Amino acid sequence: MTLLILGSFTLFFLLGWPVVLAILGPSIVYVLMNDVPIELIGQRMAYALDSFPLVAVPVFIFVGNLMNQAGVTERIFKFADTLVGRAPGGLAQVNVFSSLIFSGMSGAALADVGGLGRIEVKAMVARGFRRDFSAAVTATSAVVGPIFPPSIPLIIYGSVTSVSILQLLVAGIIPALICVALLMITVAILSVRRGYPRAQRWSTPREIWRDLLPAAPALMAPVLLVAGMLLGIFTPTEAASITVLYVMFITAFVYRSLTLQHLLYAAYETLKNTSAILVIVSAAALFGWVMAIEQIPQMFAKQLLAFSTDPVVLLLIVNVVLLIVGMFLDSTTATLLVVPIIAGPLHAAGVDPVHLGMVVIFNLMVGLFTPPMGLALFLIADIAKVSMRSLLREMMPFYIPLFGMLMLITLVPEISLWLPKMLR
Amino acid sequence: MPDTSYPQPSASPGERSALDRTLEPLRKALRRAGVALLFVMIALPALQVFLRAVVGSPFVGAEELARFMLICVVFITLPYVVSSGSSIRMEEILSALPRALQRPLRVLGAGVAAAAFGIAAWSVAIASLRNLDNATPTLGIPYWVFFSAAFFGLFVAAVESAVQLVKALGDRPLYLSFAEEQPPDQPDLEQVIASAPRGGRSA
Repeated sequence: MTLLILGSFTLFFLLGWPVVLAILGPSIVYVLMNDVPIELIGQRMAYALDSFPLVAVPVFIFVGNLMNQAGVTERIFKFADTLVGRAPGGLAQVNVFSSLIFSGMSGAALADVGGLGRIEVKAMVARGFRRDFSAAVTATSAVVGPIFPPSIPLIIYGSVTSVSILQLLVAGIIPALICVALLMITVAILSVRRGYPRAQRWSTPREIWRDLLPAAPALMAPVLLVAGMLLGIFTPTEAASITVLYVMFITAFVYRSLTLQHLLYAAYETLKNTSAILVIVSAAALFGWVMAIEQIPQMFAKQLLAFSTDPVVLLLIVNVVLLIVGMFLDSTTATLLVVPIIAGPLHAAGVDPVHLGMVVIFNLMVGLFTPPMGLALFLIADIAKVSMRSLLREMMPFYIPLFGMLMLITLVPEISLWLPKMLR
Repeated sequence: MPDTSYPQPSASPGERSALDRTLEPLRKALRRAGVALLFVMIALPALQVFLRAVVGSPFVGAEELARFMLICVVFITLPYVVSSGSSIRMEEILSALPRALQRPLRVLGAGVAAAAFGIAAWSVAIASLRNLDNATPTLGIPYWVFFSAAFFGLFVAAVESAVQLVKALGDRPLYLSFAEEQPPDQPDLEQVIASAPRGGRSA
């Protein structure tokens, strides 16, 4: 029965059917075949969403959509250009730096690739960068988003494992900053060797101040978010809601760029994205129940712990598993299906659940950009109109900082745990 | 957002079938209800912060109401996700298959979706009937209220999937785009960069 369920899921998924269907279909068949009361399906699906932390998901999605619509993204990009446009690599550095700032508000890697990435590639090509290099920089810089607060994948992870979402969000700050630094160094080395264009001179303090002013309200959003949570003024969900009001205020009254049309467009986009993600959370609750009845997590835990009880060895095994999973599944589905299985044995071996969260999410993000099946690779190749071969060739140097960072997060827990420990 | 969907080309308003035109008022009503619920859900936590921190009198049950709204938003919007082809999926392998093979797989997918959502809706209806006397602990909202939202969303999603089954059999585009989905304007980074005073190149 176990093989049948997992096989059906894999088959439906590979056939290109919606993930929710790939999860729901075999689970419903299991319920019907085992004479389980039918109402269990509805109860599991509805109660899975009865979670206050999950309310933050649509709210953060809305923040990202609103910022894209109301011109905040452009101000961030312009400020980033003024600040780092002279650094070796010019606009490529701006791309990496603005991904960090933008992700601090939208919290999702594919949103970065699909939204900001489209125009970043266009702008870089117009500035004289090679199209495949522009695509590679855009793709790799998007990895940072889901570990820097706010992070939708980390909220999903927290809701699955009942780990403090505040601690998870705070845990991502230092790894994200280190990762950005590593990517910027890589961009600088490649750009110097290849003679890529950059701004003719560094900005004067007056120019920085001039571009900081319009961007400042937007830059304040993540600061407001993190500070409010750290000071205990509000919970992550409340912080998300406050951020929406703040962004609406600055775009309506400071930038004067928000119209009713922008607002409604952002709302419709949010509705689609929210339901597409959270209905998987809902269906995965039923799938999780089936797996629990079939004792799949217990079987996996037993085998894993029989292999080793050393947390480092277990984390390395989990890294390999997650990398493979991350190539095929989007982060939400992968988190919902894999984390309930791996969390138990790793926790038993002494791995901190916040540390595990960082390993899981960063790994899944790297998986999104890893051949042969990394989902985001197809997206960025399509957006940038480059062949997969040339994209992968340009991506190669960037795998060094990405995998280096993954190893750093895995082997040095203090990078992730230093800030959260201050909150404990 | 992790939008990994690669839908078939959407049917333009002029190409819509009679089934689509019949369902259009319901679709519009659900989209608008979804937007209204979304705005209330977003406002609730901020209102709670204001009442707690400024007025000093928190709204007891605000969290419960926000959770209830989330359930309603997700299920009420599900038919919109199905009809617009916005579900998260990986279509690379399907797209690489010969067209003769793609069509039966799309027919099968739409049929399985209609059945799965239909059974889930039926299950929610039974759960709702068995919980008629139960209510949420703080605000006392009857369970049948949010179960009804889940039932309605799953049922209409099953209907949308059945409509797609009919379209797949006729080899017509499965997904729809709506007027609200046209972006008002796109940010133009090229112009932003071009306006930078330090623009220009230097190796």
